[in-house]
Amino acid sequence: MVFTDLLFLFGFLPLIWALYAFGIRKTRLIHWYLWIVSLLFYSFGSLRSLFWLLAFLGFNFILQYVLGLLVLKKAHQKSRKENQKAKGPPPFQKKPQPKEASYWLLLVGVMVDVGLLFVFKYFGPWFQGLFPWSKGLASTMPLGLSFYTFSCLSCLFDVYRQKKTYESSFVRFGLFAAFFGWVNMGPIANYAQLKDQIDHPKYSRAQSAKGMALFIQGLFRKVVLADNLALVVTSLANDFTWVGQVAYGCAYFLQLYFDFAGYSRMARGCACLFGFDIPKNFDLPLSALSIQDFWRRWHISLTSWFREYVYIPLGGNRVSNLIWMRNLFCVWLLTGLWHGPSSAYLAWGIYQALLILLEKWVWKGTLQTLSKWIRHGYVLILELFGMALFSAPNIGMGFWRIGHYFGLGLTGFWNAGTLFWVSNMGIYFVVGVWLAFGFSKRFSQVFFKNLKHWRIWQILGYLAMLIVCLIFLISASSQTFLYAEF
Amino acid sequence: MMPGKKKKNKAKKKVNYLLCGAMMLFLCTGGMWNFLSEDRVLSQLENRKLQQFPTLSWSKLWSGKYGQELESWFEDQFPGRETAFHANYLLRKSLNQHWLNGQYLGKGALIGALEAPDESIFEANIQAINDFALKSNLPTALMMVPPAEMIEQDKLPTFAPVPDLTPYFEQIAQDLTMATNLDLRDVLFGHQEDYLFYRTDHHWATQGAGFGAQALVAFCGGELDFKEYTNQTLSTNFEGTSASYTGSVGLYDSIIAAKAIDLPSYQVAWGNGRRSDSVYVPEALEQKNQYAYFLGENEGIVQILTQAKTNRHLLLIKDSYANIMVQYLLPFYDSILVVDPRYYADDLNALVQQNPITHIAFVFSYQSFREAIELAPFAARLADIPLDMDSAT
Repeated sequence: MVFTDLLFLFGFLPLIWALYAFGIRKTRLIHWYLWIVSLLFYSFGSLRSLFWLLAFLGFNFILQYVLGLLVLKKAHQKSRKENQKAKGPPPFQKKPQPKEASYWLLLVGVMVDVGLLFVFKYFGPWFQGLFPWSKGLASTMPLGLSFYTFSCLSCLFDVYRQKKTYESSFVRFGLFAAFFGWVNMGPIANYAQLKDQIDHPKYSRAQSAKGMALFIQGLFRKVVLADNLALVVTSLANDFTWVGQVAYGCAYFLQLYFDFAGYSRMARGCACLFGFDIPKNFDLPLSALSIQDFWRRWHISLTSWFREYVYIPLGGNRVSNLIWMRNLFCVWLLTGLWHGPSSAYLAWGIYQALLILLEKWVWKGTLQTLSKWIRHGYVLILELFGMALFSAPNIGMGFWRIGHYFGLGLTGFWNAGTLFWVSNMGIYFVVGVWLAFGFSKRFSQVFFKNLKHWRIWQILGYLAMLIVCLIFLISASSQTFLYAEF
Repeated sequence: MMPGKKKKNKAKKKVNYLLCGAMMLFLCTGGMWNFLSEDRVLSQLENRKLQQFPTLSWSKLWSGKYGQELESWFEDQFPGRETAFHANYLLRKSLNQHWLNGQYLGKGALIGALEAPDESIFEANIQAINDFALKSNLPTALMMVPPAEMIEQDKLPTFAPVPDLTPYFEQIAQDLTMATNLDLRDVLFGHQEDYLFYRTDHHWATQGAGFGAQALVAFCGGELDFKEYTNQTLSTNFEGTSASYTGSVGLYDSIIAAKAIDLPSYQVAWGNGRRSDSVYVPEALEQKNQYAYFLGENEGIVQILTQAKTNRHLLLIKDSYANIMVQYLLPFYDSILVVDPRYYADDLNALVQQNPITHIAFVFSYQSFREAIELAPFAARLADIPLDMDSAT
């Protein structure tokens, strides 16, 4: 089940919310209830996927539990030693310490989790030549595996580093990793951030209203903008005129943004409806002033995951330039790889690392002296090239698409088809740009401030948005979310 | 707390409650309405069977098929589904969108956008007709009806890309060596202002089909004069497949019968056993697919025997485009065997040997001939025996 299914919108969501808001939230059954409805939501995909999910969560639950106990024991021993040290004489000689059991346990956990992800997502595409049986493996991958693997790893790391204590209840652990709001397509849950909220959900009417508003905003982004821009992408894929290729690239960029930002917003909305406040996953990335700024705003849960659990443990940027470069490329290669096994994703990751490198070492000073609009243009054009790599089936095609922007392999400047699609779907580009650059936010702040009964107008606005989304949804089966592939 | 602030907070709470509660109530009502209303079997607008409530089974649950079927059922049975289609059409029109589900929302007409064709099918089909003509040793003709997108370009939305189809018509003229090419482009371009194609359906209309019939009759040595026919409008509320695709509002077509003034008596026998003394099926006017008024729904074979006494016997191999054309042909043939290769599974050799065929015509729409219908397997079923009148019974 996905958020744009009519069964979810008209059946699942209102029913489970009503039961929660008008009864269950006041009882001790909160966690059980949310866990069961999350499993029900997930089981609509298939029971096979549910089986994998439960097995995966079971394994990770036991692991983090034992890990947590070991870490606590170690901390306890440490504090006793420190007490003794304060009282008695110092030890005779410092011996090299063997790795702790908790370290090996963490390593086993990481290897099993990443190994499973590797088997389902990468083994088939990379090794099907050697092992033909693995060809269909990727198609059997349980839904959302990439997302809940990273959520579980977040828990293991945070427990190991004692950022938070281990989770003693399987239900609460399951809820953290597989709450229906984020189990299928993220955002990736951060254990340290969510632990307290999972333990004590804070439901309120204001929170619910915020959740509903976020959900409708996300639905609008996905159904009205992303799905219609997808039509432009499909129609202009084989239009090899310059305008056609630029329009194709822009439409793909906006489609990807609204597709995932829309879903993330719906996920935030769902979480809010049930009393969880999860951070933004997208923060107007198209209005960024530098590539680094862009990546602080795009798919925040993924970039912060890699920063926290890979980049910083490797030394971050407080190391020599050479090591920093290694860290940077390591993180971006992994980020590219996370999206899929294609060489184009790897090239895209390297491209992002190179841009950040150049920005820091070559043109940082110059960039800061430029006007805001030039800096916006700089980010958008470079990320448009990045999208050409990202959208290509392989690295060759990616560079071929970038070549189109420079006039290579084109059939003309434009043709009737280009003009038809650009003029026909122009409204979605206009609304898309308006939302993506944050103009809508500024407009609503000014507009509603001067309007009498503005909250009533706001409600009517949301109702109109919901009705438009439903008309579009009922009329055409919504397209598959792009991020479901990752 | 100050009374004013307290009041303001209370009002804010109310609005919060309204925002979430009203939306949830709206969604919940829609859901309940769907669950409680009786399931429909067919959708008139979409012209298809609707998903029924799925049966539960372990294998379906395991594979996820049950979830998919349940979602399809909920979507298909959703109350107000057809209203949403119409609203979607109006909404998109108001957003200056001129393309919906593969249809151009043109000027007063819905015109199907052509899909990327299959080149191999096209070439194989031309060769199949050459082979068929060679094997049968009878005068054979091919009529590939140009699409509305080519003929009615002035009705297309601004900037709508029109693919250049001329090379394909020229390829037929060049490669069709054993049969005659009946090219309708000039005559249809010359009557662009007429009612050649339906506005809401993918078929051509009575007048367009009339020009096709005229060319076919001329090929067989006759002369068709439109003055010898009277047009009778039988319906003005036909909404065809393009209307189903788009949910269009306010666009309707007329079903017009062209009846010969001097019409010989005739009998029609359909492959399903139905017999009649008319090529028209009046019941179809009460249904969604009113185009079926002309010769009914698609059948493998329809046999028409007339008292025209012209010594012409036509084997008409066709898709649904020819159905509306048959009404014009009745005065010019003693018999017409109408065969749809998609549905005809019986012995082709027996058919052509047992009937006194004098002419063969292949009539297909451009879309079918280039993309959908594969004539090679059909032509291969005809044995390598030249047909003649003496061997026929």
